[in-house]
Amino acid sequence: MSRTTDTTWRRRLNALTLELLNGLSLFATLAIVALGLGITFGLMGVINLAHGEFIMVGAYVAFVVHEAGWSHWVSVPLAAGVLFVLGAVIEVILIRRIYRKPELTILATFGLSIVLRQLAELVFSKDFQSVPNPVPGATEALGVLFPTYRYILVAVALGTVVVTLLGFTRSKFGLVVRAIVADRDLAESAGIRTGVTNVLAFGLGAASAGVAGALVAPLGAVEPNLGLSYLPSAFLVVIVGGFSRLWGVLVGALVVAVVQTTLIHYYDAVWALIASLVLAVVMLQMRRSSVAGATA
Amino acid sequence: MRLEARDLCAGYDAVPVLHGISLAVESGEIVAIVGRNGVGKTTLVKALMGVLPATGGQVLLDGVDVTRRPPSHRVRAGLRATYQERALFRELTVGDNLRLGGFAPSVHHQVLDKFPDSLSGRGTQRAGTLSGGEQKMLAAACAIVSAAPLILMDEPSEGLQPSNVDLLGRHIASAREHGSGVLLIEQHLALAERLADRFVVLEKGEVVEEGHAGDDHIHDRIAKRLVI
Amino acid sequence: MRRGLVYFAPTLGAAAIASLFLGDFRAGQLSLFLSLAVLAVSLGLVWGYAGILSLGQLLPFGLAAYLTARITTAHPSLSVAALVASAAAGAAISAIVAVVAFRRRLALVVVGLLTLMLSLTFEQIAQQWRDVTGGFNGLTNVPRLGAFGSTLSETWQNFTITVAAVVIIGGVALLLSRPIGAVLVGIRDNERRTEALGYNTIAIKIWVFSVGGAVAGVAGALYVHRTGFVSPGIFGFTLATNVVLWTLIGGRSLVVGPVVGTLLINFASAALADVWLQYWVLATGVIFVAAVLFVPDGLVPSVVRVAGRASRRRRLPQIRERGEIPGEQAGDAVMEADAIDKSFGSFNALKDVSLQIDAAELRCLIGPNGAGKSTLLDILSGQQQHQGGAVALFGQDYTGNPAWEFARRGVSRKFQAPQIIQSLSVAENIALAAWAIHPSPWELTRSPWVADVSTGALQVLNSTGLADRHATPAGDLSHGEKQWLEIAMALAGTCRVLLLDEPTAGMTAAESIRAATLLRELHTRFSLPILIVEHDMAFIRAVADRVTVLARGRLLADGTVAEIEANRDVRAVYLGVEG
Repeated sequence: MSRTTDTTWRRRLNALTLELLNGLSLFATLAIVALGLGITFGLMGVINLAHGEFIMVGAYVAFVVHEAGWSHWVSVPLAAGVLFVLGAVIEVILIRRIYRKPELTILATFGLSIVLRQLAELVFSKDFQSVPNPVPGATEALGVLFPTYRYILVAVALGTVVVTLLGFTRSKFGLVVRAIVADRDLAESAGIRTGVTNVLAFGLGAASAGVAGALVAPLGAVEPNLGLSYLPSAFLVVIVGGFSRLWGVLVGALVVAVVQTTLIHYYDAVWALIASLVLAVVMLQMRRSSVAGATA
Repeated sequence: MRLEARDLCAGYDAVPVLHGISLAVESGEIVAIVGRNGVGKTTLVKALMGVLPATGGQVLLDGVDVTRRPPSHRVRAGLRATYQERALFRELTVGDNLRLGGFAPSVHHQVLDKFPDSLSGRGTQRAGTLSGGEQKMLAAACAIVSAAPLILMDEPSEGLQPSNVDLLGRHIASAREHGSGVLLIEQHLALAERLADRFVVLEKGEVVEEGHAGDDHIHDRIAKRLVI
Repeated sequence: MRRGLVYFAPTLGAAAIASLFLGDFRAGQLSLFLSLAVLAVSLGLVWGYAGILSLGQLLPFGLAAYLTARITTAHPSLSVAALVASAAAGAAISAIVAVVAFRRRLALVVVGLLTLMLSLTFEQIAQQWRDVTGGFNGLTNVPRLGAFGSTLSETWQNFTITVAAVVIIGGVALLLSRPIGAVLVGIRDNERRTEALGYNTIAIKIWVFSVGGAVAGVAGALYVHRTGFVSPGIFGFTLATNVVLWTLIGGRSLVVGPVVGTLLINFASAALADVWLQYWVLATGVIFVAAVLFVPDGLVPSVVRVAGRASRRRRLPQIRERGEIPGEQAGDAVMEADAIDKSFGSFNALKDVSLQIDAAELRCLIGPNGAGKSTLLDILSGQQQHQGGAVALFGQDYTGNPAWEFARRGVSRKFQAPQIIQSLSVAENIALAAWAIHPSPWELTRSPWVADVSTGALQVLNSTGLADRHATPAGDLSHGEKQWLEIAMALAGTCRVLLLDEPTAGMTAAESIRAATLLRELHTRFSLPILIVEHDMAFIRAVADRVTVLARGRLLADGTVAEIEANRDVRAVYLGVEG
């Protein structure tokens, strides 16, 4: 009798642990996926609808690295570098012309997303490509088996997010960037070259998408539409976390991960989505001033 | 260093404010810009800095045309400004404002001590929570301690108590002694008269009167232009 | 309306004939693309007219498609009922979104983001809620349009959808040719000005979003009948981008723009996609970016402009004289501010300011920069909320009311920088001010293209030469003319008290004196109370009965012009000389 209860409890505990690990993994993925979006919007008031495509390009970098026979771990910094350059180029030829016209930035990045998706299709075809898991197998910890790669993903993703956020909040560059957000004219008058800073910031936002893409590549198929599946959650994270503080990305990712994991566990994915939507709407209603202020 | 405006025009959206201003200020002198409300004094500072694009005319720094260069370029060339309305980044701490002003943490106290008893030891406070007068004092202190070759100051005495207005005057005078040039926009005519080497009076976006501190009846000439 | 019919009747006829004689394949394409054009028109309505970039116009569209598929698969003859249900569902979902988005005045980009996210989330819901939506494969075998127990043949369905789509598009065009069209443009160009004329802009935006949702819903119902199936992609990113592209390319500021854009791109895409599919899609992306950078207004408006017909694109409203502005009895308090406190954070903009404007009074408000003059005017016209004190109009408490309620009660405001509706003509700006007497969006869709304007406004227009420039777009006027147009707008409706913020800013000295004369005339002729914020003392001497001086958020002095000019405190404030 007591023995049965014991095993039942252990099974429940293990199931709970697994859910927590799933939630942690979702949290890390959401955070890294939304990081760049948070930077570009929080920083420059640009809603980058091509952010999902930046992630997709990062995933293809991982695919190319795999085809070339290199280690998967090369792809993470490489994707960051490739996307930094891509982001910087896009800032200079496109985004720079339309600052202060937020509507046009939405539309231009909308068009950009089509171009990037289609270029990917032209180069790699529509076929689902796969990047093999560099660390197959599972690790047993806390009494449950969990894929080893996911542990690494959590570490790398959260590490990147935390380091980036620390960089933005602690360094002089971060201060300069915050000064531009606070008052662009005053920042210029303090001798800050806002143009150069914006290139760097947009490039860094893109680079973080590259890291995200390289990290998620082994988890599923690499294909031109890969970015689209990450876009809604990324927006959700940014809305829930708030636009004005960069740390909001972590808060938003945590809240969304908790809500989705819990609801998927107890109900199903549809309810998890609906709950996320309601959450976003409630957050928007509550945080009117910061939302309106972010783009004023 | 010499800052010169030639036929400078500027305005907001479709509203022209400055209609061809020509003036110059050099390191080592204080030029006061006076005029009633709404004649374009603040617009002049913004156009000279490049925060507001010029719609006509030129801005020259040591003879080099910087009309199309961004404010940061002019700042790096030696120009510095304090604004009337948003003097500081209110969202950031006092210390961060000083870092952005180019002051290493070790010299922060020099800036904060310029106006005794009010600013020292408040480096971690958000600048927006300082009173309006304190914000003006801090911005003025930043500009003066920076020892930039040319400083534009828009209404630095506004919101300051009389004793600090006196102190501000002494600081501005000492900046001149150390070689800075100051373009001083000042409603406080007594202060402007005490400090300035030259006067430029604006009316409806145009220069209507100019003079030197020693000229005959200079006070009456200026006061006549300001009288209601 | 008759002029509209000149375009509409032949278009409808041509579409109907084309549908019958093109053969099933081409006619099928036409009906498909026209049902998408209806969707694009719904986006043009909310984006092009009201200025709200909705990236989630697929929300009502897709919802309606699923709803229609469910209803007609079960009951093939209930197409009409499904159509009505689709329109209602589309309106309802859009209304909910609009209430969330506009009630708290979210920034427009955030609204765009929110609508896109909602749509994409619906895509995922549609994929996963298999019992209702059929999951990834969606719902197939949706029957053709049907009624009375039978369904239409393919040919007649194409015909019906084509005709229905043209009629709906014509209906939207008709709607927008009424005053509501000008009001929406007003909200798009300058919401603050439009609200200050007396329009409840939030309610109007929610209304237009709902109407757009209904139109998109009807488009979704037609579309699903035509295609015979619906899948989660109907909420997806690709279609969302495409609809925006069609609308952008065609030109969103005219009803015909999105239609042209949709047909152009879709026929081109159908012709090229067989051979060049990948390059074609790539090209659409490039076109998109290029359009944003180089023709952000779209093709049709650009062509119209090149053809030099921009000024004739909308017929001018007829301006009629309405009669006198009702004057107030001398001595009555028109407007009272009692102990107003207003602070921005730690900064006290106004402290314990009380002010009473009597009927038949012309008062000037002066003071140094930062004294709180414009803030006080904002509070007296409901533009800003304040922390302490009360505002009353005609003895009634208005504290906390929105600006449009103040305007309805007769508080007219001219802002510091001229606020006019740039893309409307002079006559439309005046009419817009006069139409503010209509309380609801529905009334604005029914009232005629005729404006009853006050005598005072007409006097201003006549004496400033603006009466001869009715057709000029207001954005093309000179600075001084814009000032006068805004004053005329302030007078045109139910003006019972006029608040002017720096009316002579940007005027020459001669113009200022003329302004003083005209304002005095209006004041005496119509017993109109006027409160003016000014700096120009020559103007103040010429115009004011009484002057109030504000300094550092407090009342400093109050009296006749002579008294104020002799006041030592005031002189100190202005000259900066103490004592």
